[in-house]
Amino acid sequence: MPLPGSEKVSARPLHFIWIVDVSGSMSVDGKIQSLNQAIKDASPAMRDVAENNPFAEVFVRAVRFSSGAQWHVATPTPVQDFQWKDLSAEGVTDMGAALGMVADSLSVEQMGERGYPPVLVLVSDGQPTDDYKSGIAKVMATNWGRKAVRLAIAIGADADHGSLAAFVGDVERPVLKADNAESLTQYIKWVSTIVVQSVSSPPSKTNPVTEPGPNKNYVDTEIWDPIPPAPAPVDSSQIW
Amino acid sequence: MSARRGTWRAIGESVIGVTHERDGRPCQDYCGVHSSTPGAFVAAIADGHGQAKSFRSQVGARIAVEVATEVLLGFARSEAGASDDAFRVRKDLAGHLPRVVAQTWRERVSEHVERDPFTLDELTLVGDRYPIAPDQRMSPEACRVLWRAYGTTLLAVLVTGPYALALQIGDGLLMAAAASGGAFEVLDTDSLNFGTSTTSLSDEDAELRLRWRLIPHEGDYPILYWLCTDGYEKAFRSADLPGVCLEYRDAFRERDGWRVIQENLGEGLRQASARGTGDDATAAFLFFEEDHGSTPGDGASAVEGADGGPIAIESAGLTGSPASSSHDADRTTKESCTAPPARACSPASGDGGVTLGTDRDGVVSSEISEPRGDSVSEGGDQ
Repeated sequence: MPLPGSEKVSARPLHFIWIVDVSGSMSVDGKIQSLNQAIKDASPAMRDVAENNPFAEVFVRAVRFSSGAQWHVATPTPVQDFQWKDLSAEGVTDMGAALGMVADSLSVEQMGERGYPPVLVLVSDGQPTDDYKSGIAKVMATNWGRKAVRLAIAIGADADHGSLAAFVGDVERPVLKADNAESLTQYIKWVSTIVVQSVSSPPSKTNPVTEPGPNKNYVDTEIWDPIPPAPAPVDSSQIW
Repeated sequence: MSARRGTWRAIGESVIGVTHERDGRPCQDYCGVHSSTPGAFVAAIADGHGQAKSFRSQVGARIAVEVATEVLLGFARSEAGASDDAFRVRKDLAGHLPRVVAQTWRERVSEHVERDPFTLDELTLVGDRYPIAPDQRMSPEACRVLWRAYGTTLLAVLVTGPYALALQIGDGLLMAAAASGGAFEVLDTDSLNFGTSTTSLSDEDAELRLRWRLIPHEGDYPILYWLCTDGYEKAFRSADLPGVCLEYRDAFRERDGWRVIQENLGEGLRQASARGTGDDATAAFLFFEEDHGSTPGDGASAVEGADGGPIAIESAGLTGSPASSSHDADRTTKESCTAPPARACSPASGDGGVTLGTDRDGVVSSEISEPRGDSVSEGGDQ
């Protein structure tokens, strides 16, 4: 006989959020087209990863930012149903506004308490034109923002690595530098698959230990497999 | 207030998580329920940390359950704990229990490592801050390393006729349901228990992190206490938990409901692990089975409840068999980790005085003296 509530048992959610720069400079040299294609190409592999993990339910959302920020996919969408709609580029680079919107979505009321750490992927090719630091501060003011696996992809030579690195906030997770379409495709696939797989895997025997920090006298009981290193950039004759 | 007749039941079980089985790791949860002491029932569960440096957490979890059971039974047997009309005295004494539990756990951990020293493989995990020579003095840092090796959460509830007493450190769920009301979390939320982080008995300030609550059995008091580790709790959406708790209450109320749940608990927990979290899963219950007109069953004894009604107490123990020993919890001070043979780590505050002793039945009892400094009041009663 099933226990009370057994029909309510479900896998834990993993929220994945794309935070995408669609400023005017992204329209140069086909960057936005490459990004659209890379996310579309990576989606089937992301679905495969989710389907092979019975302990995670992966939900995907997306925020775009240029002159201001808007949700591109506002509803946490099961990865099996996720369809990427192409973005176009114009305007400036209001990264802080986008991060503020993401922060608002990370509340416990909206995310619940039982999920895996969310994965936040920031993709940008330029210099922030608003107060990105306050956006980062808003993210870090939320419980899930602090717990999130924050990753950043810098597109082209003009990307501001400082703001991206500040968002990541972890020297062991360097900003991924995509100087060409092939590298961008590779990184998008890596965050969509390897990172999702790693974050949604319950702890294994070989996991490393996270030591308590100076202001943290409590322990992380579940330490995930270390995210495998990102692939090396791909050489290409076309450089952004 | 109406008299209630009936029997408290205590059941519980831990199952290994499917990912623990997959990876060849032990079950790091532990569960103990005690119902063999007339008038006092205890359910205690613990979830040893999965960290590499908590490589003996399955032992730490067992020790935590044993210590909590002993201390709570000792409290129930103490003069204050057994009194029907001394809520204030009982509350004052209960406020010292977090320190007693934390200190006793540390002492037992020290005793365990003395009997079963770290292996060479384990020493590679604790690093060079832990002294290898047996007569070497334990530094505070070494104590922290030692405790972390056994790190665990703990949730425990004692029920007697006149009151219930709940304790918790770390994550996991401790929920209750009254006979006619809704379900509620027994203790206030600790914001440090979030996501994958938890407070721990291995924390230096565990006595301050241990939350507790004394619940008088008056009015529509809980007839069900549900304790579970996060391996079961997180198989549910947070919003569903109160409803599930009420489903359990109603299932327990069915004829032989507790027996049906007991028989299906292990398989149900395994399913929750397989379809939910992958983690070790533990659930324990204390349930008041009301007696509608019939006399208490064989082997039961009757006590007076706070509401004046007789409460039949089931006398047969189900599981859990806490070891007996004697401790002086007030002997050590914050920075004095002593050399062997008392190689114990007990850098707890030396204020107050709750002395544990062992009675002839091997149950730890507590004796209170005036505090000398700050008393433990965190997470206290409401």
